[in-house]
Amino acid sequence: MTLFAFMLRRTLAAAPMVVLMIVVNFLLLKAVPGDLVDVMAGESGIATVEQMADLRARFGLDRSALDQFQAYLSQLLRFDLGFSFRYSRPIADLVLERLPATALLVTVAVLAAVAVGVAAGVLAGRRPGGRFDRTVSVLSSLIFAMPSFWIGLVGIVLFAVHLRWLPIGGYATVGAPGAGWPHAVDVAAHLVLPAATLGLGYAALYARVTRAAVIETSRLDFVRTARAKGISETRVTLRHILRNALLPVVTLSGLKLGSMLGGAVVVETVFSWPGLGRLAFEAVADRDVNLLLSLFLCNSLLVIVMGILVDVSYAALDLRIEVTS
Amino acid sequence: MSARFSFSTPSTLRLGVLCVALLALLAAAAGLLRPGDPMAMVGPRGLWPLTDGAFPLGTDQLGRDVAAQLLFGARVSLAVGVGAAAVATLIGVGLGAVAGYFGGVADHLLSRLCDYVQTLPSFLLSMVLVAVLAPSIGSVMLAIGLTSWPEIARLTRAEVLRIRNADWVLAARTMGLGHGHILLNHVLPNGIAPVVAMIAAVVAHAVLVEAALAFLGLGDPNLVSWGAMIGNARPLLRTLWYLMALPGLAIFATVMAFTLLGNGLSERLDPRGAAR
Repeated sequence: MTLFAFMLRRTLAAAPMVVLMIVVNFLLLKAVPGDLVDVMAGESGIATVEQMADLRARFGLDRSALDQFQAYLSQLLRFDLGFSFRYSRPIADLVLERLPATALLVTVAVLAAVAVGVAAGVLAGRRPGGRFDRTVSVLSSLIFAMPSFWIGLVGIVLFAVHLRWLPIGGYATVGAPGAGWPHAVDVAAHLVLPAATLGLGYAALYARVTRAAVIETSRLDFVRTARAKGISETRVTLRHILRNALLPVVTLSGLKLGSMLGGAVVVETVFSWPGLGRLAFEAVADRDVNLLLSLFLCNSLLVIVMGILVDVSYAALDLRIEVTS
Repeated sequence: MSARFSFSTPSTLRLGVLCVALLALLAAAAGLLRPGDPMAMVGPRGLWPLTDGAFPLGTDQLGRDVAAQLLFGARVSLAVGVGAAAVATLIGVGLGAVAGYFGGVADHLLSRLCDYVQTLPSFLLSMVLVAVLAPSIGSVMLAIGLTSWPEIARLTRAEVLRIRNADWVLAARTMGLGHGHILLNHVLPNGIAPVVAMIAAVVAHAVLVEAALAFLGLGDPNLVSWGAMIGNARPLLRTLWYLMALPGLAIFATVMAFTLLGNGLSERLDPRGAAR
């Protein structure tokens, strides 16, 4: 079976999950007290009963639940996520507009977390129980017990307010040039604190996973063989142990990449980062549940896509895993 | 996975129990230690900690007692943590036990359901649930509990699966006892130990999620919450940063206490599973 066929099969297998997600999303949408027309009537301040009935008929809200679900499905198939009345814009436009900022933040955070976490995990796993190992384990325990938004705020007080090394928040300095190298440097400076805040917890997680995998792999026969062949310890660690220990990290980071929007909500709110997470926070603050649910649906679908990609990369990375099921 | 190394010496359990008991005591005695409404404006505005004996931890921008808010906030954090863990335990142990004991279709369905719930972005789901149900301490408990049961279910299932064919269970079956009776009196009591340790970890997780929800404004608007305190202190980072720092330390201490309790319990109750 080719890789393409494998992807196709994997996608088909995920189909029931997608359907279930859409159904749950629809039910939650209907569980919200008050409908679209109530919101609009509240916004405009004046609405007669007849006008409201007319609007409901126009939006199809007076039809049966099954009809409405059908309409919702066909709407989704046309990549139409509905309309946000707070922003007076289609939700899909809002999502596309905010996507790049979040993608940048999450990508940088994950890459940094993988680099730091894997390095710390390898060094800790080389000598379990050693001083470095204990330091890493205590540090990661401390990080796990702190709320990420609090870490971010402490970072602001320390690095932005007192030391003045980094900007306090936002995507770029207001009024600064919007393109070229100065802009890139400006955005990078704004990115440091949010990415560090978001990545810290993941770095701690990757460090633990890598450490466990390194310890486990070190006991395997091929490592002893490599050592017996006289290969240097560094080479054994990098080529033989790390390469095999990396698989769980790949799985984890792929899956976490999909669900990172949850963490991004908090971090983007702390740093006023204009991404999807911030949009979710604004949706909550404005009680725009439609928008919030659309973001939830997009993220759920993203997790599934990431799951498929992880499986495919797994098959590509590890030749022992047959692409045929 | 080795989630617990170092932080697990023989005294871990004792330390965890001590910390949790202290927290519970402080929360229970909140009304005695700082009587009156913690939301009331009782002193000068923006008083720094350790400067006035009447307000040992200072006052906030509106002149509210920070010590009182922290103590009453402990009630919310503990209530939500324990409540959410109770919801997750009821669902998780219930479904996990049934799936593990009966196997077959029930087991298959549970696995798919766990897969599904674990695929959902859990923090966003909690946000959605609280927003749909309207923010209150009950909806926050439910929202966190409904997203954190699959781990408990998987562990319970694995434990029940391990025990269901043990000799004493077969003996109970040959005696003609009913499935419910066997499950409750013969299987679960022998398999629940590792699950209990995991429940403490779920409480720690729930405290963190509650803080994040309250920080975003999705907490009970009528109760003091540490996360909401931090959210309110955000515009004052340049001047009154202790208003942000103190509740954060309280959250950290609470999560740490339950983590220690969980690690200590798992070590005591399940010595051979220490590598998990």
